[in-house]
Amino acid sequence: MMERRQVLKELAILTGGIFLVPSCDFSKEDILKAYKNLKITESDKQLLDKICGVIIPSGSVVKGADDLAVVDFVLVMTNDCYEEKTQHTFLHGLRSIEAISKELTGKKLSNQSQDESVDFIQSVIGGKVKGADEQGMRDLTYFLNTTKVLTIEGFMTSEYVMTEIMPYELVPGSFKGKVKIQEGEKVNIYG
Amino acid sequence: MVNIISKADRTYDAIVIGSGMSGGWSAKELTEKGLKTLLLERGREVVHIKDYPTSNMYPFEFEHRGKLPLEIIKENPIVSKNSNFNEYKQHLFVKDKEHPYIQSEPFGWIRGYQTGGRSLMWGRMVQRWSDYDFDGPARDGFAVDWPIRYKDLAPWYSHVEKFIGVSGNRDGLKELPDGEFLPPMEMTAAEEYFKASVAKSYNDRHVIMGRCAHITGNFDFYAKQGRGRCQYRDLCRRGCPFGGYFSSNSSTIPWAMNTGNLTIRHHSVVDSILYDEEKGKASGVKVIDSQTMEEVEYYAKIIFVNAGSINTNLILLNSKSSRFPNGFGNDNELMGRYIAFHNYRAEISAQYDGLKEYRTEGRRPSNGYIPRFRNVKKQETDFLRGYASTFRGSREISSDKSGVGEELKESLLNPEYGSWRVGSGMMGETIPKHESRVILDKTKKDQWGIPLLDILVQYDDNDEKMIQDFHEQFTEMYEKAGFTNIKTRDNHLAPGFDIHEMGGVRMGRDPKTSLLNGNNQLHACKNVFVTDGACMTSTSTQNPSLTYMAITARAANIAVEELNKRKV
Repeated sequence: MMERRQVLKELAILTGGIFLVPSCDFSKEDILKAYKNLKITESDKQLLDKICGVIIPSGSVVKGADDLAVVDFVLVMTNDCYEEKTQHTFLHGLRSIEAISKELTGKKLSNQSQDESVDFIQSVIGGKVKGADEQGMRDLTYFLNTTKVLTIEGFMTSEYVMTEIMPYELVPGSFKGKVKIQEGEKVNIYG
Repeated sequence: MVNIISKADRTYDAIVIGSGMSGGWSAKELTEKGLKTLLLERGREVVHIKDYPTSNMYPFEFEHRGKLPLEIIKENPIVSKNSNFNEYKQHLFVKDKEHPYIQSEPFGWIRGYQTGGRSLMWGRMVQRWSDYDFDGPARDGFAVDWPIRYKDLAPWYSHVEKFIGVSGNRDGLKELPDGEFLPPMEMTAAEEYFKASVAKSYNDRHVIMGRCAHITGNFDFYAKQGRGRCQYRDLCRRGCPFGGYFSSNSSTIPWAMNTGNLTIRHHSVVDSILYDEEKGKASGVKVIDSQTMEEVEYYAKIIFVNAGSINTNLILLNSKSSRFPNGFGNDNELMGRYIAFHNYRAEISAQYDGLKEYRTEGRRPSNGYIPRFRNVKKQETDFLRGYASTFRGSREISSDKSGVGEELKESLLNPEYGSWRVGSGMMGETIPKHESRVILDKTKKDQWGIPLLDILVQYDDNDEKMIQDFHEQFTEMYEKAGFTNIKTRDNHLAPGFDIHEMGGVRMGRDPKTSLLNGNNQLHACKNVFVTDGACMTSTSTQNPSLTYMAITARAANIAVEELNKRKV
C-alpha cells in the first residue's frame, strides 16, 4: 500500500496535480491539503476542472484548459490570493452550480454537453437568467466570472501556450521600436 | 562587549557604511587608491548571478504568476504598496517587520538590506543635473545654497558614467547636460511621433530617450567587469545574470574586491560612529552583528556614511558623545531636518490611433523622458520649481474576452493589435522644509536596541499645485498630439514611495545652516563623509542615483588627497 501511495504522490508532483494522496479510508471526502484555506474536496475539484474545460475547451490542434490542468492554477490563486469572504462566495458558487443548472436547464452541469454548458454559463454571466435563490445566483455569478478570469490567465500563462503556441522569449537580445507589421502576421502577445 | 579579534585586526584605513549605490562607489574609489577598506552591510550577502534565484525563471514558473499571497500582503502593508514588491523579487525588499519605524505622518520607506542594497532594484534612469538645478535653492529662496555647481561635478559624472555604462542620446539640452553615452535605446513609433509633435508645439519642451544605466556598446570595456550587453529582457529588478545594468553587485563591489584592499562584513548593523575626544575625530564605528547580537568596534582614519538617506540620519543621530550630545556633527540641531523626496503622485494615460502599421519587438527596460520645462530659467508659475516626466508608448495587443468556450479560445489564440497606449508619470521636485524631519523615538527600540525612527514628512500646497499643473500641461500636450481617451490620475501615495528620500544631513557653505561642507565632510568632524542621499540640499527632478554616485566618487578622491596631506 505504501508503495502505491508513493507512486501516486510522485505522479501528482510530476503532473503538478493533486497533492493529497487518498488514505485507505475512502468513506469520507478529505479537504485537499494543497488548498486548505479554500476547504475544497476532490469532487469539488473535478467539477471545477470540468468548468475550466468548458470555458477553454480541448481541441484537435490546441489543447484546452482541462488538458493543461488549469484548475490547479485557479485553485492556487483563489486559495492563496483571495480574502476569506470571497473564498466562501467562490466555494458556495461552485457547490451550487449543479443544482442551479438543474433548476434552470433541467440538467446538472456535469450531465450537460459542451454546448449546453457554454450556453448556461453565458446566460448566468450575462445576467440573462433568474434562479429561485437570489443569493445563490449572485454567488454563482461571482464564481463563474472569477473562474473565467483565472482560467484565461492560467491558460495564457501556461508553459504550453508560452512555449508552443505564443512563445515567450526569455532573452530577446534586442529591441526595435518601429517594426512594420506584415500582412497576415501572427500576433504574439509575448512578442 | 565581545571584541575578541585584536584591535589591530579591526583597524582599517577606511570604513564604508552601506554597500548600495553610493557605498559601492566609495569602496571602489577608496580601494583603488590603495586604502584598506571595510565595507559594512547590514543585510545578507547577495552574490552577483549566484544569488538571483528568479532571474532566469519563465512567467509560468511562478506559482502565482507574479502576485503575492494575501498573507504576505497583509503582513506587509507598507512595502506591498510598492508595485515591485511581487512574487518575482519580494526577496530583495525589506519586510515591514524586519526593521520597523514610526510614521507620525504616512511615509513609505522602501529598503533593500543586502549586498548592493537598492542598486539591485533601482529604476536605472540616470540624468545629470545642470546649474538650473544647483542654482534652485539660492534663486528661489528655500533651503540653503548648494556649495557645489555643475562644473564641480561634471568630471565625476563622466567618471561614473564611463564605468557604469549609460545608454543615451546627446540631446544638446542645457537643462539636461549630455554625458558619456553608449548608443541609445530606440524609441517606439508612438514615442517618435510625440517627440515630433511636442517639438512642433513648444520650443522649451523636449521628449528624449531616457538615459539609462544599461550596456549598449563598448563591450570589451565592460567585459573587464564581467558584464555583458543588455538583452532587453526587462527583468532587471530580479538581478541581471548578464550584468546588463549597473548594480554594486555586478560592478563596483567585485571591482573593489579585485584590488585586494576590500573586506566586506555582512549582517553588520551600525549602531553608531565613535568619537575620539582627544583627537577631535571619528575613530570608528560600533557594529551589532544581527545574527549573534554581538557588539564589535572597528576603527579607521576616515568613515564614509552611505547607509541610504534615512538610515544615514539614524546612525548619525544615534551617535552621541559628550562632544556631540544631539548626534554626530549636529551642532546646529538641523540634522534630520529638511528631508525631501520626489512627488510621483501624478499620472496621465491616453491612446493614439495613428501609426497602426507598426509594432515593437523585444522588451525595452527604459522610457522616454521629458526634462523639466517649468520655471527653468525664471519663475513663471504660482508654485516653486517643477517636474520631469516619463513618456512611454507601446502597442496594445488584446483579445475579445466576452465569450465562453470555442469562441473565447479562438479569440485568445488570435489576438489583435489595438491602439498605442501612451502614458507619463510626473517626477516632481519637493521643497525641503524645516518641519520635514526624522527623529529618534525616545523609548521604542528595534531588535538591535537602536531607537526607532519617526518620520514626519508631508506634501504641501506647492506639491498639490504642481500635480494640477502636470495634469493640465500634459493634457494639453497630449491633446495637441491628437491623443484621445486622456485620463489623469492622482495615485495619492504617501511620500517615500518614490524611493528618492533625501536630505537631513545637507551640504552647504555655512556650518550654522548645514551639516556638510562642499567636500561632503561634516563641518564639525572632517574625517566623516556623507555622500548618499542624506547630503542633498535640494532634490531637483532627476532620478538621483547618478548624482549620488558622482558626489561619492568626488568626495572619495578628495578624502584620499586630504589623507595623503594629513589633513583629515
